Amino acid sequence: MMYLKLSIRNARRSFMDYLLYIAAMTVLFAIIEVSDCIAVLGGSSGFQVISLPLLTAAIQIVLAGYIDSFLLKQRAKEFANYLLLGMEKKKLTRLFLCEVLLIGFCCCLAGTTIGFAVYGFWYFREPLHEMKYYGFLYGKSLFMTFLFFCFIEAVCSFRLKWRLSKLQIRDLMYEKSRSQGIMNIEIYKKWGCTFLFSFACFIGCVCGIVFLPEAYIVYPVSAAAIPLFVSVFAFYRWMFGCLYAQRRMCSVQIYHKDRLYMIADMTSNFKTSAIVNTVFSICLLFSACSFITGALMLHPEFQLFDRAVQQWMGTAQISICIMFLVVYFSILSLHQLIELRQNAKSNHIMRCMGKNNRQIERLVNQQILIKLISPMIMVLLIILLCIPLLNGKMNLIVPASLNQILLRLAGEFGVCILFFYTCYFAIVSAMSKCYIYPSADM
Amino acid sequence: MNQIRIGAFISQRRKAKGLTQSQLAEKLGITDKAVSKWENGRSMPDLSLFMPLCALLDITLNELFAGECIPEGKLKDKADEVLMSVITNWLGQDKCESRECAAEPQTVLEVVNVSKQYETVSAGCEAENHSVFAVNDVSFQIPHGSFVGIMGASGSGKTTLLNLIATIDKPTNGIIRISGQNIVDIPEEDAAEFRRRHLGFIFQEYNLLETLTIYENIALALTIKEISKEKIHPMIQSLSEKLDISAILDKFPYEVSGGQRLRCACARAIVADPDIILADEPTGALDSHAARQLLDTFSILCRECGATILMVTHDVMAASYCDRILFMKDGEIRTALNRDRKSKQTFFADILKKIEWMEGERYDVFEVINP
Repeated sequence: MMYLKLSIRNARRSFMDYLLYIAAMTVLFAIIEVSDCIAVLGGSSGFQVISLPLLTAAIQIVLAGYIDSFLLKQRAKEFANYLLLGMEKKKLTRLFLCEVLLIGFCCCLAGTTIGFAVYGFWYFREPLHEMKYYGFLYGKSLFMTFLFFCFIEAVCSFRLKWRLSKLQIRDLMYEKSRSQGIMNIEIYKKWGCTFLFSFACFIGCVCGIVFLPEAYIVYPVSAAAIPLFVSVFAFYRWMFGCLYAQRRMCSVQIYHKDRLYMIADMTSNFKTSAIVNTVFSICLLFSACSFITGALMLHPEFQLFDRAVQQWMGTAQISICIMFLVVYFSILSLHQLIELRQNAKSNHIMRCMGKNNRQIERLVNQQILIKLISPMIMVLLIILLCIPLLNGKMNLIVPASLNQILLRLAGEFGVCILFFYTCYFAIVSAMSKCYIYPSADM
Repeated sequence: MNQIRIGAFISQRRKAKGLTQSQLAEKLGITDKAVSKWENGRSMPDLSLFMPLCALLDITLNELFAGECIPEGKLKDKADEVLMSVITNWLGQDKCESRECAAEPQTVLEVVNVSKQYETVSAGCEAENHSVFAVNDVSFQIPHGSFVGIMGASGSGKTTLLNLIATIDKPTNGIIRISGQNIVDIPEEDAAEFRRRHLGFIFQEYNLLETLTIYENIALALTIKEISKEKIHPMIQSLSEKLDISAILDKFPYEVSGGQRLRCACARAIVADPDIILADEPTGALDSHAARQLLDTFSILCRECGATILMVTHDVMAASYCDRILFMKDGEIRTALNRDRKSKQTFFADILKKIEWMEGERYDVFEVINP
């Protein structure tokens, strides 16, 4: 009981640090709830859509792990002080896990409420959908979301417990300012080779889908996901590793204008950055696939299933696309804002060293721009290479009126991304100004 | 005080008493490693261990510091010698050198009748406006290559004055010229350009960027000043050797000691050759040993690099390294003290007298040293 009270008090006091956690978890639980609703309704209509909440849960585990590490960094000094005051590490771990679980549970409640409200409103506004299914849908989706909550929290708690048990008081003291590093800086070359190999395999799979006879297409289709995931991860490990190596080798090229500051900002936690970029990249790829599938299903001339079923699938796919875009931009933006708040001191140092406010603003905008765009690099590469190939194949299958449909839809998705990107960039850039301009307390 | 000699003496006395390192460590309640470090001259015993150690080794404190047994006849001379070496070690080696040259040194900083007034609103039934002079009609000059200190109690206005000189704040009245340029009315963008070209900063909290290594922190100052990228490496190498930080260039700030961090901050401040370095209580967070190292570094910067330093401090020991000290109270400069050719010890005593005079009451020396 005492721990519960202390946890609640600490959680309230560290509200700003927890904001990222709360927002990310709430949005993701809302998405899991919506996915569960789709899965429940899809199941009753004879479709197997359980992979959707499973994928969302997998993304949430990775993101929650990342945010947990972020929170641990923020509060490491406080924990070190508790230990110095005589608290046992077991008790401290319990206290932190209690806090995280409590907040996670609140986020789950908020997320399911929001998720069900949004989906329920959208689904039951159709007069054809009877309200008698309301209770069935709510009960089943809530139960599934709760199971996912238990699974996600169990994995995250285990990971946090393991991490905390490894950290000594001294480590906790310096945890916040610690940068990630590696002994062998040349390892990025291996990641480069892995990327090239896996990406070649992926392109091979796409070529197989395009050029193999119909009977054999099933093989490259089922195998394509593995080289895709590996190549995305390897690409980001290679990219950040390469930048990190340039730093460590004191390459002359980086000592020009703001390059050093930008590269240091990108590579201070490069291993985590690689994982996070991979997850967001996959989010975006998933969103692109959902958009293209949904738009195709909703196209009046595209006939694959019964019209009503096709309509349902199309709308579901478009909502999934929007959900993943919201996850992508909201979490990245919020994370960027929290980082800016914490780096306000760096701006003060830069000002003393001779940067004026406009230059600092430009630097911060560049940081926002890069952070929002970096997971898109791989998506862009994949889309640029795969869409023309798949478009050629589609032209052979669909009626002549739907020629170049994939290129058109990819273009529309690009416009959609550009819209989201501009909106979020403008919001984050406007909000970042309060951390750029000197305040009275600096 | 010769640490190696003291270590050898401890070792010799321990063996004479028939004790092993472990036995001595056990009797003193410390680790074997600590005793080994003393004997190798790598560290000194803690203050609290001096007397028990002397008792165990059957020697006097004088003999321990002298690193030898003192015969009865030489006791007085040796005791004075030891006391002098302890004082010198505490205040540092006196390196006061004449910097006289034929030509009159150029004035780097000129402050003329500068005031800074703040408006405060008192809360109450009727809101009242009060104006407070944080800095009141201050004037002084700093010549090139000098090391000037501003001393004063908390709230005396010394940091406000430093901020005005640093172009971080604007004075209400007066003129501040740095290298002949009046900085009072320059707009924010030009002020940033001015800071980049003419000023260097050293803060008490180091203010190093945690995501950058020591090398990169220094390099960042050079990239901001748009120094050619090919020149950066040799400049950092040469300066880091001078400041004895070559071995830690690849480390991150959290991986090095407070003293090393401050020396890195010094390197960052001096590397682009600013007209004046502004240091705000730089020794505030350091122990006496690290503080002395830093102040020696300042002296090196003045002597070898021709740097001009303006340091705000309330520490008498730190102030005793300066060439000139301005004493502030209630926003005004009450008096100044020049070192001239005085030894550091004499200058230290003069500063204490000056503080005593300013406060108008007798000061306990140790209270001033350890406020």
